[in-house]
Amino acid sequence: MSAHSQILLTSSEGTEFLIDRDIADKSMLLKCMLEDIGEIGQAVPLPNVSGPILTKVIEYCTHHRDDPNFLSANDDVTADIDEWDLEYCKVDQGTLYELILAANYLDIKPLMDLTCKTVANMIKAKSPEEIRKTFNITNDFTPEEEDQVRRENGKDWVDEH
Amino acid sequence: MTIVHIPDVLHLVGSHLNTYDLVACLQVNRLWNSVFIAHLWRTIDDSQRPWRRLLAKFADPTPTYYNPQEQHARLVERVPDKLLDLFLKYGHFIRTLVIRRPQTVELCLRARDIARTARRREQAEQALAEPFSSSVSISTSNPRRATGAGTADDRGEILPCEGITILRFGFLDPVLTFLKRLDLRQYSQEALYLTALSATLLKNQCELQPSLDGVPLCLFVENRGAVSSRLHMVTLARSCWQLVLNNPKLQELDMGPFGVHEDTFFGPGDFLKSTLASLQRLRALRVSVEGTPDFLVRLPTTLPNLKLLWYHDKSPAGLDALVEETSKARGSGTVNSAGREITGGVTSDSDGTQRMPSLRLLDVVAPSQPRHLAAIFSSFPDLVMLSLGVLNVDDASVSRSGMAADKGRHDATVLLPQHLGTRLLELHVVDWGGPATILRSSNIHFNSVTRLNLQRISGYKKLFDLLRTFPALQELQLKRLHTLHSEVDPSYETELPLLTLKSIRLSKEPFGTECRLNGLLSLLPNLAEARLYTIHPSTLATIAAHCPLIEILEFTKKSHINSQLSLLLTHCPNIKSCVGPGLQIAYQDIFNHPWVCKDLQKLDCQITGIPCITEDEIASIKYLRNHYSQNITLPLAFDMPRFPKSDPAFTHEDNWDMRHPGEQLAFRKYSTLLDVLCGVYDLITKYTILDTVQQDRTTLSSCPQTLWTSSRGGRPASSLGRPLKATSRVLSNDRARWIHFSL
Repeated sequence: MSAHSQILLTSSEGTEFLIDRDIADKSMLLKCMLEDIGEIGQAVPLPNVSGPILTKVIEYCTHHRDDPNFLSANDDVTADIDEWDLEYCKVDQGTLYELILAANYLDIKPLMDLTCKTVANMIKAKSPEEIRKTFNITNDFTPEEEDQVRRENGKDWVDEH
Repeated sequence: MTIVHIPDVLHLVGSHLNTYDLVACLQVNRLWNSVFIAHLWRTIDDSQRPWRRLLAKFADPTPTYYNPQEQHARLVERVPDKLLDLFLKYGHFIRTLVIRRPQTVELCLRARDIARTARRREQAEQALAEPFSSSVSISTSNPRRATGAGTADDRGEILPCEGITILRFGFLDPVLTFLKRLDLRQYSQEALYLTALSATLLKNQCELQPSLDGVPLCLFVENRGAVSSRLHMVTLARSCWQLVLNNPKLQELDMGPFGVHEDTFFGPGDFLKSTLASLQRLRALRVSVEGTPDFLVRLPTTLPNLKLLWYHDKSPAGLDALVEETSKARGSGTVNSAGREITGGVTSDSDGTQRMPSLRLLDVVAPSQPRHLAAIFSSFPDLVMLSLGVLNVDDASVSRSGMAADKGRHDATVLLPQHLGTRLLELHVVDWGGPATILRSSNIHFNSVTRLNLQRISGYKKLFDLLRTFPALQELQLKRLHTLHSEVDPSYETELPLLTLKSIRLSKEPFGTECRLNGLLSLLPNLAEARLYTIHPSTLATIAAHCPLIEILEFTKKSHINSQLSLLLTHCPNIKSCVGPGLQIAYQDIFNHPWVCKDLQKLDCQITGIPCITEDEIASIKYLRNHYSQNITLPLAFDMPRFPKSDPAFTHEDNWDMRHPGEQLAFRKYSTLLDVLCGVYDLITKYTILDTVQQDRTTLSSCPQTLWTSSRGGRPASSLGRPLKATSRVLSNDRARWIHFSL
């Protein structure tokens, strides 16, 4: 019976989202809350998540609703991202960051892994300068510090002569 | 402020990056440096870069045989300061340490020692400066640890190489061999180098002596009977154990098999037990426990949180002790149960048997017998994976178990109401001796085992009987079957099919005859994955007829002719991968019989019947292309999907000025080939999701031998997921499996 019950969520702007209980259970935050206090019949306020982001999160949970390995499958850090997930993460950086924060807040580990993996993929095979450009980061090293970093944990780790 | 400025998020990202990317990240800015440095140093394997090169420079025990003199000259006597500095500075980030060279042990201990001395001095100075604050902080000896090694200071910071949670000792084979030769010193050619190296290593180790405060030398020398020439190994063993003692937070400890040196590395039982008892967080352990028969019995009290145990003891004494303990506990249970102690995670049953519910994996080397298994299962009822050496019934125990059976019949009804071993999911057995139903009499029923890995079994009939005793078996891996000559094959028509078996993996050629392999396959209506060593011509037809759900078919040995591939592709709609040398399919078959396998992702086969073009003919085509019609492309490589479709403009002969009949012939052949290839390509892409031809087989003369792959999706995997692995690799490779056990 509980599988068919529905939960009402409210995003930061006050937009309401009616979702199935099993989708809400993908979020550890909601799951624990619903288990602790039961279904109160009122909307659950999520002041840290905006409407568009919540839509995105619900989209993800709905796609994976019947995934039996939802909690354990993504444990292998080297595993490739599947096609749907790859498409899902094709969003601008701002949205991606908000997704990470939302996944963190709602405690949805697979989504957290997926988004972090996507950020990691943006870093992969780039030089430090390219990374700075990608993420708009300023270099605050002094030349001496930078030299020390290179000497201690630089090319020895990657080159082999 | 974006997410790349939040350390917590960066830490999460860091676990998805490899060394290359981490090194780049370190150089981005200060924040990134402070975050990612921990990730770079988290896992250290001294056989990987940069350690492989840096460590090899000093006192390399892997000799270069051809020029010991030169090596002698290059022998660096001390740990290079650069390495030591790095360990001093970043050693406390290390969480996983894989040690394959003895120098790493030395490096770790030395770095910790220097840091500890520095810290003590600092604290002493502080205490002098503030005489009223507290004089307690100077004596930081930790009362909890009898070994006397202070772990952390007041600020809770850890010293270098003290925060390790996963520690593996797996010395390289050449290292161990060399250390042995160092003891013997009998090779005259190397004597000079050996002597010098020996002196260096001993000198370095003498310097280490003060830091070996937890491991008394006498334990290793006296009890092991080590002579002075083996002092070298003894010190190394002590250093290793000291490193273990320095890391009370260890979760995984792998004191891998050390081959001939095993006895040197393992201290006496009491030391072993007290050391391990201090590692309360230990969840995975591989250790040799020769001469400590009560190890298994005491396990519940020494290591209550252990989940995975590789129990290396070649003699079954430890198992015997467990049997005794179980039966004793059972016997005295009714009287004594109230008085039994409950310690840690151990629960005592009403029958008084000490149980450790958390142990999920057990790997036993010693030859075991049914009574051992009964004791194991009643002591560790939650075992999920069990790996055994030889499973047998020896004569002595037959009579004993005969006696026990009389008693056991009484016991079974009273004390063992439920079957044993019912939670086990995976069983690995090196050699299944004795009859197939050997365990039934001990009340062991593998009702939930889904994976069985058998290295050896004798008798084809026995294998069948054995498979029947696993009602839920899904995966079978078999290496060798000793055929008994007298045996006749069972009649496959009357045998009941094995409905649950979905995956079969054969290494070597266990069945020998065509009839047996096909017979077994014909009994597997739900087979999804078949990785066979070799297949016979009729095997494909058997699979097509009896295993309609097959997804993966792979074999490694070249078989003669397999023209029945078409049968498989027109009968098995689920097939995803079909790879093996020697598979053939006639192109007419592709045209005449539509394939049903929509999910086919990988196909390695030769397309036969296609006109063959000789080198001369190719030369003619090249000539035509270059001299007559510059604007028309005549492809000379079979490069799907970029291979152009037949274009009437250049397949029409009249458009070409061909003077020699040879050219004409070549051109006609070429056009036919082009037509056929394009037709084949069209059909294959229509039936399946295959769309690419492997690049190195794309020339026109070799194109019939093609490996087709799909650009969609990665490696084809069956619905069963990952293949079966030996337990010895669980610890190192399979993180997913680890989670599975910890749930």
